[in-house]
Amino acid sequence: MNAAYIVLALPLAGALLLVFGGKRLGDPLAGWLATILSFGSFAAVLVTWLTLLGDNAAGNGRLIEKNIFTWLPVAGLHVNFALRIDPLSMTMALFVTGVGSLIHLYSIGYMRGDRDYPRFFFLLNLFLASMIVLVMANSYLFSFVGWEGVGFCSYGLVGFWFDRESAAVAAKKAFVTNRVGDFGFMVALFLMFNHFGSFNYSTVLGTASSGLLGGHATLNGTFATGLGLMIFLGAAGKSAQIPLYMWLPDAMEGPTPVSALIHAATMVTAGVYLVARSAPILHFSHSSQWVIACIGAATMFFAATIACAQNDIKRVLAYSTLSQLGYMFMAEGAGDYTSGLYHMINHAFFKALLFLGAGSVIHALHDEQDMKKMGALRKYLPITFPTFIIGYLALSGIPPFDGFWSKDDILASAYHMNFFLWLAGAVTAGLTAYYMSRQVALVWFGKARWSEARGDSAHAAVGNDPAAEGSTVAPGGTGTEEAAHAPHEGAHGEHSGRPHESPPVMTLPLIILAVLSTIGWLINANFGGFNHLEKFLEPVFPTAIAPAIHVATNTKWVLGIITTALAFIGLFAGLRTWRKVEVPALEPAFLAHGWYIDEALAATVSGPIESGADAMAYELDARGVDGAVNGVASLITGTGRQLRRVQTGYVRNYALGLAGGLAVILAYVAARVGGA
Amino acid sequence: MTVPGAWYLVLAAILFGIGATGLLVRRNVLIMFMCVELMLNAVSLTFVTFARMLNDIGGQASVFFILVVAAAEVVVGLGIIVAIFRRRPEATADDLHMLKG
Repeated sequence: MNAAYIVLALPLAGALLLVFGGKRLGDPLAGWLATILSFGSFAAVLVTWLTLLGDNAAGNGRLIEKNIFTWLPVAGLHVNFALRIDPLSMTMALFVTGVGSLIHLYSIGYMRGDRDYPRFFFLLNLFLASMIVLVMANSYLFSFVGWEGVGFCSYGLVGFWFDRESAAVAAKKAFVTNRVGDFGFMVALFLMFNHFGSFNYSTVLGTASSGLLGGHATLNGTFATGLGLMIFLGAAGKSAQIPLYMWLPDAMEGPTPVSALIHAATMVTAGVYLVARSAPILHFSHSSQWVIACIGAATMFFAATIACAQNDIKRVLAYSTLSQLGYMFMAEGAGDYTSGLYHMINHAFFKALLFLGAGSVIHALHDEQDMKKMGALRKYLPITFPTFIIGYLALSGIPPFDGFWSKDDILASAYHMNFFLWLAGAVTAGLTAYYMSRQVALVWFGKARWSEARGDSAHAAVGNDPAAEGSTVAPGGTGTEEAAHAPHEGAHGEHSGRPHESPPVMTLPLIILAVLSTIGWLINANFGGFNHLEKFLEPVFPTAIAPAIHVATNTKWVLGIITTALAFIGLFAGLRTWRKVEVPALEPAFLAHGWYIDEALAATVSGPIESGADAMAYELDARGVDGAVNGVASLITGTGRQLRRVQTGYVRNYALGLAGGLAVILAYVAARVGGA
Repeated sequence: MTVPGAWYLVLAAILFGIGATGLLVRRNVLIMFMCVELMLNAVSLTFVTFARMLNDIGGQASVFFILVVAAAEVVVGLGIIVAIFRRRPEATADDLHMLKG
């Protein structure tokens, strides 16, 4: 069980080594160090997990806590840095370190030649350590440490190429939006401490031996709703649900492996984890479960419509991530936590695969991200193409790939809760297939639009003159990775315009993820006793808090057939429309602009806030506050100037003053004596 | 016949009054200095009178101190005045107002 310490120690050590010695290690070495430590961490998780499986003491509900040190020994508040090893944390840790390691490996190739290569791997390792803290902490407060850690790493990685303004702005947006969610998390912490007097998961949520909620028979419904909604607000910030979703599409400004690691596979699942962890609280608040399910469903549908009209290869995937996270929250709202987590794991596989595939495409086309300037790439990228197709089929919910199974489970549970939730999910499944088909058709099929696109762009100079490349920074501002990638371009300059397959260090993770996307569903297939995940997670979600959801087998078949049919319709509609040689411009501007939410926010919120800030700065501060300070100063100066005149320098004046004073004192004494 | 103690006190008050008035109205530094001496001696006279009336040696002892201090003061004060007269042809107290605020 001591392997649990190593899980956390390795990436932390990696981060420390890289922050101090990264520059010395240099280009490929820093990456290899980070990757090896990350894989080591994954191995340690495997060992811990196997030990937990072997631990058959059912009495403790498969729960082990490993103390590291006492953090806050204040009267009445005792918080330890301790690791909680239970089925849920192990499930999270396994896929976080597993997928994370693959992305580390991929980054070695992708980031090659970048100016700040060591800093990238420092942030990746720090991110991994924070994420491990988040999922393996034994208390809400310790989880919050990891929560903020991943928030910081996300900020650092989205803004990795901070000399581009769009990246810096996107990083700031991600951070600020996350802070709004953190506010909810913190209020939840305060409420929790006030009510339970502790942050420990075991105390707050109870254990198998102590019973639900640490022996509290029940929880006040209103309190549970408040607590549940605050927790969900935190989760919505991290997992980019309505209304805090705006940062995720912009976060695509970061390098592509970051988009894969943080903004698709791992960090955004922190919210899903937190809600799943808080299941015993949500159990007492039906209304907060409804809110979670409805927000999830709304995000799911809303994001899918936007994804249909995006031209940036990564933004399509970003909106698709929002949509898939919506599915997970809908499942959790419906009380089917296992399916939510099942979908989360599957999603981690195929979304990481799709993002890394997209990265490979971007790499091949020298940092071109506009799908309208791609096409017919299937001949040039013989490894990326089939793996991308597997990810595409998995995301579209085509059997027998991953996405189909978990989406089906979720939709059955949603149907059990409410017909309309299911309907939204089914329609979204069709939309998902449609926008992914559009992407696949635009990128891999049709006519090659990149050759002529490259001819008239500044890229003609690539390879001959890296300095000229640096000076053509970001013509459009958003969405191109060329500016900071200038050295990277230089390294591949000999290819001039022709797309090329990525090195093995990048294709290997693609292949592994493609295999996982094909067979990963076996961890919880809902037939033939294949429901391993459900059985494994049973101690965390006992029937007392997550009652089993019974949907008749026939109904399940009907629902499954309908959603799969919708997915196929979307698939063919997308492929037929977008495989044409000439690129049609069919995207409604309304969707391409993301329902104008950003613009509306800018007009309604940012505008007044900005003018309010202006009023504060130029009126209240300059006149009010500064005026008061300067007023006090000039009052004292003026008084002094007047008082100065008393000092005439004439002895007679002073003498008169003395005499007058004496007379007054004498008169006073005389009056006193006379009075007495 | 014995002079009543009150007369001495009245004399002392008159002397003090003359001194104070002179200090306030005259401009000549030397005269002002003399007025200060007059006031000091008025106070000394009061002390001696009370010592006699109350049969307390403390008053007379105080006068010794006053005399000593006054002598020292004369030394310093006259020194300053002589220095002033050396620098200026004539000097009134009002000419020496450089210490105004």
